[in-house]
Amino acid sequence: MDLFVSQLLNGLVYGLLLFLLASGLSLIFGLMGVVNLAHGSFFMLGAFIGLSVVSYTGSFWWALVLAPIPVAIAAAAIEILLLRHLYKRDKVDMVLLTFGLSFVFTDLVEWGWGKDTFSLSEPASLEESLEFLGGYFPQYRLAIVVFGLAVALLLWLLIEKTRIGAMVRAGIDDTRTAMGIGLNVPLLLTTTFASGAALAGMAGVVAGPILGVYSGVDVEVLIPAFIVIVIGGMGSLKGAFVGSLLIGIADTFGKAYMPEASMFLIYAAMIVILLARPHGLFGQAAS
Amino acid sequence: MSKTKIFAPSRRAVLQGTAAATALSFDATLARVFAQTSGPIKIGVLNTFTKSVGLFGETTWRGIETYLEEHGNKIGGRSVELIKEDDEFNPQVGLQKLRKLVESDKVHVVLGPLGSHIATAMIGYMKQSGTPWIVTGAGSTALTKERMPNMYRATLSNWQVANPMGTWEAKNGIKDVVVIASDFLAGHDVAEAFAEAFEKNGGKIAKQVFPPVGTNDFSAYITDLRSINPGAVYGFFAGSEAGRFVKQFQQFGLKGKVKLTGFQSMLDSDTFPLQGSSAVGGLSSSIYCETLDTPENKNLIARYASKSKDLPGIFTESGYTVMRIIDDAVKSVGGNIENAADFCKAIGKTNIVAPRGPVRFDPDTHQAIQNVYIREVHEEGGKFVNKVIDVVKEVGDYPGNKA
Repeated sequence: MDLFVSQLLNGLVYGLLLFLLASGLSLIFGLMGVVNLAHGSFFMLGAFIGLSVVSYTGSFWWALVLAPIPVAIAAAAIEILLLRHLYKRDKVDMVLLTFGLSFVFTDLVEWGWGKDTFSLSEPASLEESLEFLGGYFPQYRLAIVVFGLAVALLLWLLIEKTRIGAMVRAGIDDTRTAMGIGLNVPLLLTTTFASGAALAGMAGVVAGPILGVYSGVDVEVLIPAFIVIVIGGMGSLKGAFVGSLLIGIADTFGKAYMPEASMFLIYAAMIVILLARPHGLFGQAAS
Repeated sequence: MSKTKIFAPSRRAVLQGTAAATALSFDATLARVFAQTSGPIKIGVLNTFTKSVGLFGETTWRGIETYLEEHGNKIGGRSVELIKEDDEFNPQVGLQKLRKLVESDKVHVVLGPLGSHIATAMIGYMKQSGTPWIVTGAGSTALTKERMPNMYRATLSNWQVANPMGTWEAKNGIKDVVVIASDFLAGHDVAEAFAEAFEKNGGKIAKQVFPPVGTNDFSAYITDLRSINPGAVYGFFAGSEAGRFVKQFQQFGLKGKVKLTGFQSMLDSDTFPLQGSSAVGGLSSSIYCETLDTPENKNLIARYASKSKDLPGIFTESGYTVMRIIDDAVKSVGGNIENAADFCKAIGKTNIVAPRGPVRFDPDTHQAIQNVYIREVHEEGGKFVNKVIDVVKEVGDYPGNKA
């Protein structure tokens, strides 16, 4: 039984890391219709900036707070300078643009930090392991579970209970009407895009001690994040949350009990869900 | 992204050389030999200098440099030009860089690569080109089955290192083992070689798992390991993956409950900086141990101290020893490395005592025959080192590779 709980926790850790990435990706898609292939790059950029902040300040916490800022600024600049001009064009143009940007970010990271794999150490206060139901569980991973759940709760409150959230939801449901009733949609788009990127950047720092920091990590996290939002339903926060936990837990149990088929399990789950619910578990048909 | 380092002769040396050439020019034969063998010896170093295993390319390179600095940048009396190429651990990139080294740089000998998948991809091309090739790093057991006249492997074969460890563990009280190995050629080689010997000597393999290459989070596998609770785990990982596996093994509280054992790359001086105290007590088998108490190894340690604060690891020793092998072979053919066939035969006659111990080549498969050390990780004054606890002498190639 304790092993089941331990594996469940392992799955939660991975799932909540995915959620930090998938939530932004999903909201951006819902609001802007952009399949943002550069979203993994924001994750990677956050991780590398975090690495540099740790080497200057020696503190993981500073990295967690500071790294998302330049990522958000970069994202805002991309939205204002590039994406904005493509909203009226075919969606494929935007996808291609973000695809191209992901290569630019990979090159930038390799140019700035090199192609090596770096390790980001967990904060010293969370280095130990907790004795737990007859086994051990690393404190840092428990902290990720708490942090991830807190972020999920805050995001939910923000979207469902605040005025800003109401504006975002209005934008997702019907952009044109939202503009018609006087919402500043361009500002909303920039803010959402930048916030999603900041969240991804923060996820990069949080995941650093577990996944490592290297160029190429962007693609490795982006693919499961896409599976998550396809399963959960594009544009739905609830969908991103449920989808992340499903994938995290399925992947973990798959690795432990059916290692040869663990990748297949995830894709099989995606196919089944898509056949039963083409718009994902919590998605709506496109308006 | 190629870096070229030239150990160019000084202007005076060139003048002396010219004078010597003039003096000899009345002897037609000698003059021809001299013309043929003038200029630097070009050595192509094809290795992985980036990605998760880039560390090993760097430490191999430092070993090569250490030897050259010790010998005044000369090999067999000739200056040396090293041409460094990064294969990015990718066979396609590796082949491209190999062509560049052989066709455009016209190197006399190719050293490397690190990855067995790259070495395997190189076989066809190297058979045709006939360029002398000394493998440093790639351990694929099947590589020496090719029995190519122009290929020698100066480093380990996966079988050579993993098989004796299987026997040793079974004979030293370990009854059941979970094997966990990176899911690529080398991982499967090592798992198979270990399991064969372990089971033959009465041990039981409880489970074999192959996590995909690039796995960073081992929590699911380690938790599963806890539920099986075997006497030992035998692991094969390299580079940053080895760092994470060993660290997470401790974080999840398995250290002290399940014996940590593995292939050399999992517990080596190259990985200690990533692992810290989590590595202490771990057992591994290797063709080298940094604390070997021999004059040859002490000499390497002393010379390497100027390059790194760490002790030399297996790849540094490999870089150093492969240069010694080339040096001896070039000397024995009178400097004429241009005659590839003679040069290759001379490599085959290698019989040296390297920092790792005695090294010679199997006349049939061209695999280095060498000692395999069973090592244990210790902490000494804040530093982590491997110490030899047992030696299996002069282990040869996988018997199935022979004609």
